[in-house]
Amino acid sequence: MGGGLPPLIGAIPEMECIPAAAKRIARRLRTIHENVDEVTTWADKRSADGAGWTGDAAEASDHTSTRYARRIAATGAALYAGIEAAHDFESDLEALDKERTELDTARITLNDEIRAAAAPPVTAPALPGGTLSQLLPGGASPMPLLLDPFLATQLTLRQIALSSAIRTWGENVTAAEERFIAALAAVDTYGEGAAAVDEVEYTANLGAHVDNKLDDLVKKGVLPADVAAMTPEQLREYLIDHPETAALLLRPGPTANNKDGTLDSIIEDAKENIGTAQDLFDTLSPRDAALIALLYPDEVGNMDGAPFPVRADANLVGVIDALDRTEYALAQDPSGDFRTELEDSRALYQSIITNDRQIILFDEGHQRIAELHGTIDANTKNVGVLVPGTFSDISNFQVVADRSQSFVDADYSGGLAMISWQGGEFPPSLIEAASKGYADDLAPKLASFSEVVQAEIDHSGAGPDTRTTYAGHSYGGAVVGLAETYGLQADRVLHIESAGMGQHVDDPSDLPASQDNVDRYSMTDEDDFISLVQGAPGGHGADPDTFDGTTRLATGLDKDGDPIVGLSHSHSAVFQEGSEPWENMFQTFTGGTVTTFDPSEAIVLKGDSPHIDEDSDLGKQKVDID
Amino acid sequence: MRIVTAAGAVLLCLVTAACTDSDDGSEMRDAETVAAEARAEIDDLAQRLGTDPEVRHDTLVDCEVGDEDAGKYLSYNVHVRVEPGTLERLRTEIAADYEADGWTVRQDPEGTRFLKGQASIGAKVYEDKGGAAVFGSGGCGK
Repeated sequence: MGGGLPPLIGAIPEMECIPAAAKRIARRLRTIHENVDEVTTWADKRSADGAGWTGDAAEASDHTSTRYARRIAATGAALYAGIEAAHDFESDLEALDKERTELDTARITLNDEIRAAAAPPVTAPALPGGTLSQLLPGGASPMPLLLDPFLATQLTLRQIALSSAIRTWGENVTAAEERFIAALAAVDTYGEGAAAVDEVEYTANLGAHVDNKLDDLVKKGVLPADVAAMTPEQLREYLIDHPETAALLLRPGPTANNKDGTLDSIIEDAKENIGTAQDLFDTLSPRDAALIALLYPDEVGNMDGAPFPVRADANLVGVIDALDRTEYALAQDPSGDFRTELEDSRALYQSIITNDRQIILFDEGHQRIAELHGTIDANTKNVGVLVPGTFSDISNFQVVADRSQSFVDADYSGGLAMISWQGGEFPPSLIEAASKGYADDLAPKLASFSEVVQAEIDHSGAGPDTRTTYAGHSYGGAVVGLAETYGLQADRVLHIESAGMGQHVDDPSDLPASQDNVDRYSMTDEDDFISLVQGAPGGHGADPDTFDGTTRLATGLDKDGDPIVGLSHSHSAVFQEGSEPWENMFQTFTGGTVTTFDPSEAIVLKGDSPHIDEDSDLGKQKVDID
Repeated sequence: MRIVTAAGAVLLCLVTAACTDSDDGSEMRDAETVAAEARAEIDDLAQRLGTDPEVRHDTLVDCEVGDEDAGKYLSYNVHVRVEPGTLERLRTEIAADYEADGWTVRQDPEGTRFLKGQASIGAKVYEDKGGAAVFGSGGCGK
C-alpha cells in the first residue's frame, strides 16, 4: 500500500457447471435409479429360493443369485447417493452463482472507482480508443496523475478483500465440483450398472430364445413359416384349426425333439421346483410366456409354479389334441362300448376350447384333470378345491366342474375361486371304492397340489388372509382326509357324504402337527347309505361326522328333525343349488355362516374361530368360519 | 383283511341301491320339464330383484355320477344389477310373497332361499357390488 492505486481486478471465471446442468444430471440419475430399482426388485424375487440354472443356462443362472441381487441393490444405493449429491451440487451451484454475481458487481464497481481515481482531473483529455483498462496491457494499473492518498488506501484495502473473496469463491466452486465428481465416481464404481444391464439383456435374450425356438420349429416343418408374425392368440387359433400341429408340439418326433437348446434347458430346469418356475415366468413378457406355454405344452401344462393362466394356455394344446383323437376314436368305432364316454369327453373338450376354460392340470392318459373356476388375484378372499368321488374320470369331469362353478357364480363379489380337482384315477366302481389303493395314489398328489395352490395364491397378490378349503365328496372325502396325513395345506376341510377321514386316521392324533389349525366340517344326509361305511373297520378311517373337533353341518333337517323340502335325498343331490347342504358348502367355501346338523344350533364361520352366534337373526344359532 | 374289504364292498353296494332309488318311490318327472319350470321361477325372482339379467350358468347336471338312472338336475344362475335396499326388500316383501305362495323361506347371510317340493331357488345380494346372483334347481328329473 505504498500510496499508489491498486490494480484492477480481472474478470471472475465463468462457472463450468451451472445449476440447470446439475438438475439434468440429477434427473438422469433418478431415471437410472428407478430402472435399477425395478431390476433389484425383480432380482430379489429371482433369488428368493436360491435356485440356480444348470448346464447351458449356468451363466444365466449366476445372474439370478442372491449375490447379484445384493450387487444391484448396492448399485441402486450408490445411484441414490449420486442423486443426492447432484441435488447438493445444484444447491451449491445456485449459491455460488449468486455469489459470483454479487462479487462481479462489486468487482466492476471497484474497478470503476479505481479507474476514476486514476483519471486525470477535469482537464484531462478523453482517452482515445476506449477505456483505461482496455488501453493498459495486462490490466496494469495506470499511474494516477493526481492521487488522493486516502482514497488510494481505501481502494487498495477493498481490492485486497474482494480479490480474497473471489479466490475463496473459486475454491468453493472447485470443492463443490470435486464432491460431486467423487459421488459420481462411487456410482460408477458400483455401477456395474453394467451388471444391471446384463440382467436386462438376459431378460431380452429370453425373448430371443423364444424367437429362435419358433424359427427352429419352422425349419423342422412343425410350424408354418408365417408363425413369426403371429400373436400368441393367433397361434392358439392356428393350433385349434390344426390339431396335427398340436400333436407334434406335444409329441415331437426324433427330428423335432431337439431338446438341447438354451430355452429347452431353461424350461427343463424350471420344472425342478415352484420357485424356479415362478422366477422364469416373472421374467418373461406376457407374449413370451404365452408362446412358451404353446411351444412347450407338455412341460408347462402341469409345471408347478407356472402361473395358472399360463398352465391353462399350455393345456389347451393338450385338449386340442385329445379332442382330435377322441373324434378319431368315435369315427373308428361309432357303436363301441365306450361311445357314451367318448361323446361326453368330446363335449367336454369342445366346451373347454370354445369357452376358453382354465384347465390347470391335464394328462388324459392318466385321467388327470383340474380346472380353475374364477380367478385367483388381488380380489380373492377364498379358494375352494372340490374333489369328486367314485366313478370320476375325464368323461364325467363336467359334473364336478358344474358343481364348482355354481359356487363361484353365486358369489357375486368375485372373491371366491374354485378348483375342480381330479388328479388321478378314481375307483371306477363301488366294489373298487372299498379299495384304499386309489386314495393312496391320490392323497399325496392332492397334498402336493395344495402346495402349488398356496404358491399361486401367495404370488397372485391375494392377501395373506385368503383362506383355502379342501372339500371331498364321497370317495373324494377319503382322499382329502388321507391327504391331511401328507400335510395338506388347508385352512378348512369339508367332508361331503364322505367315505371317511382317510385310511388309518382314527382320531386327531393320527394327523401331523401341520394340521393342528385346520378347521373341519362334515355333512352326511341322513338317508345316505354312505353312513354305513363311514368308520367301518378296515374302511377309510374314522366317521367324519363324529371325528373329534369336526363340526357336523345340516343337510336339510328342519327344527323337528324332518327332512326339509328342496332336496332329493340321495348321495349327490346335496349339490343342488339353493338346497340346505349346498348353502352350507357355499358358506364353508366363502367363510360365512353355516347351519349345524343340530337344527337348534347354527354356527357363524367368520371371525377368529368358529363360534356359536346366539344373537343371530338368521333363525338359529350360527357359527363363524375363518 | 380280505373279509373286511369284502364287507366294505357289500356296504358300498348298498349305497348303489340307495342312490338309484328315488326318495319317495314316485316316477321321476322329465328333466327338461323340471328344468324349464325352475328356470322360469329363477328368472321371475331375478326380474323382481334387479335389472340387466345375465345368465352365468345354465346346464343339466347328473344327479349321481356314473348312474344315468338317477337323472339330472338344473344348475342355473343369473346375475342382475341391484339398487340399494334390495336385500331388505328380498328379506321382507318378496319373502312374504313367496311364503304366501307355499314356499319355505330360509334366510341366509347374503340373501334368502325359497324351497318347495324338490325345487330350491335363492338369491345372494351384494349391494356394495351393485349386483345379485339368483340361482337354483328344480330337483332331479329323467
